[in-house]
Amino acid sequence: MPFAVLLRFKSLIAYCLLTLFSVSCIIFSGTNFSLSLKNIYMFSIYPLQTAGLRITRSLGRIYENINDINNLQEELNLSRSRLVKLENTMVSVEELKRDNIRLRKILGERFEMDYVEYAQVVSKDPQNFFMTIVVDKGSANGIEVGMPVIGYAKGIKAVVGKVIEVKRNHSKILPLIDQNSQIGAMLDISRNAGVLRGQSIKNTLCYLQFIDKSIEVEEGELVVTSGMGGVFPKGYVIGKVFNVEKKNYGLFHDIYVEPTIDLSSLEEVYIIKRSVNTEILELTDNEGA
Amino acid sequence: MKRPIVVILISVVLVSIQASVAYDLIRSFTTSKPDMLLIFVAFLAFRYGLFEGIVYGFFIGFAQDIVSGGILGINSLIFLNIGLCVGYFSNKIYSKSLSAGIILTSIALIIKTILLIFVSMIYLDFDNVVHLFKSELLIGLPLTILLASPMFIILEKLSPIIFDTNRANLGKNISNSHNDD
Repeated sequence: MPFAVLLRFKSLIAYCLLTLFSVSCIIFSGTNFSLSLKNIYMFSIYPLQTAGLRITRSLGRIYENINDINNLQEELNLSRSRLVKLENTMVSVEELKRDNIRLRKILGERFEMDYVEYAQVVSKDPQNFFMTIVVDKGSANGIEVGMPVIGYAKGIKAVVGKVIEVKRNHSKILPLIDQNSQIGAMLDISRNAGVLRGQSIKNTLCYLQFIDKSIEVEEGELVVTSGMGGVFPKGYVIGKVFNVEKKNYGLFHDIYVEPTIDLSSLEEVYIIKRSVNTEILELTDNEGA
Repeated sequence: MKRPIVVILISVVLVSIQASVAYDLIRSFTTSKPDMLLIFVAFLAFRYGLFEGIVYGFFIGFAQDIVSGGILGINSLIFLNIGLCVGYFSNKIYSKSLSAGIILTSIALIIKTILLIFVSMIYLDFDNVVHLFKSELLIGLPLTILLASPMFIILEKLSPIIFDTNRANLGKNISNSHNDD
């Protein structure tokens, strides 16, 4: 008899139990409990998305190859002649490179080389609510949390965001336009440094804070990374000043920056493999506290 | 056991499509994208009634929560309630026509928007809530209705093959969901 009662009210019981579970998940969001639930699913869905993306791209490449087959012979001849020229150039480039390193050593300049890892975007938020991006490279490729991510737009290297979560073969990126994002930035002409924050889901412009009002800022001026904060290397392009709001009060300008990278059409990124300088981060945190 | 497995497989495929870069391009042009998973939940609740609407709604929402990288539980709560509402109205409406299904899908999207705004008010500021309301209702609703018609036709054609083991089973499900009321 109790079983019959359960069957009669099964929809109500299911609704109550599942609502309770969902509400518990919202309350405990961000704890180990919800993170391990996410991990279970990630193992199944992300490889599937990666496979889907690769199959689609492969099919696209096959189609392109069929179209290009007529031009191949002509291009091959052209390439051969270019190759000969390039081989000669390579010799001089190698010589110049060696000279460059030697001269830099003589000048005593710190010479750092950033290594980058190419990654493809495999997933974006399925709803219109969050802005995270998932790429197909993870800890197996040496990716770590906090590594800066860049992309190419019209041939310019520009900031995309930073890695916030790493799994074995996938990583999650927080884009610079997300309201939780903060990047050390500076104006390219005046070299004044501030903090660049994302605004909201409705706005693709970023907000540059702490630029002194006495500084002349013009619309269209380039904004680059300042290298402060220990995450991003110095000098990477972020975007251009879109609007400067002139105020009669306050100490700082209200500057809105249009990012160079268009995140809506982003398909591939480069993760700069440089460990986050924890000492700088600790000192910054202490200062904030 | 056949139907749950098929539903899970279709859900995984739809979540993968909806989270894909190519599908997200729609959002870059229109600021919102049609919700295929909502249409799927609405279809399941419309065809199989209250109980399956609630259960499938929860699992599909949960799958989205995990992929979205946001707060775990929001989408599962919203889609659970969509399954409940569509399932409830589906039992009240005896017509199983395509237009009835699409009307219920529209109601489902309005319910989703209201619940999303209710939940997001805790986490987002007022401007974002207004933007969410505009993009979901003014752009998301027509796009979802446009996609609902072909999806309902395809799912309706496929359902005797992939969802129902036989017709008697479907009749049993419908009568069970009527008993639930």
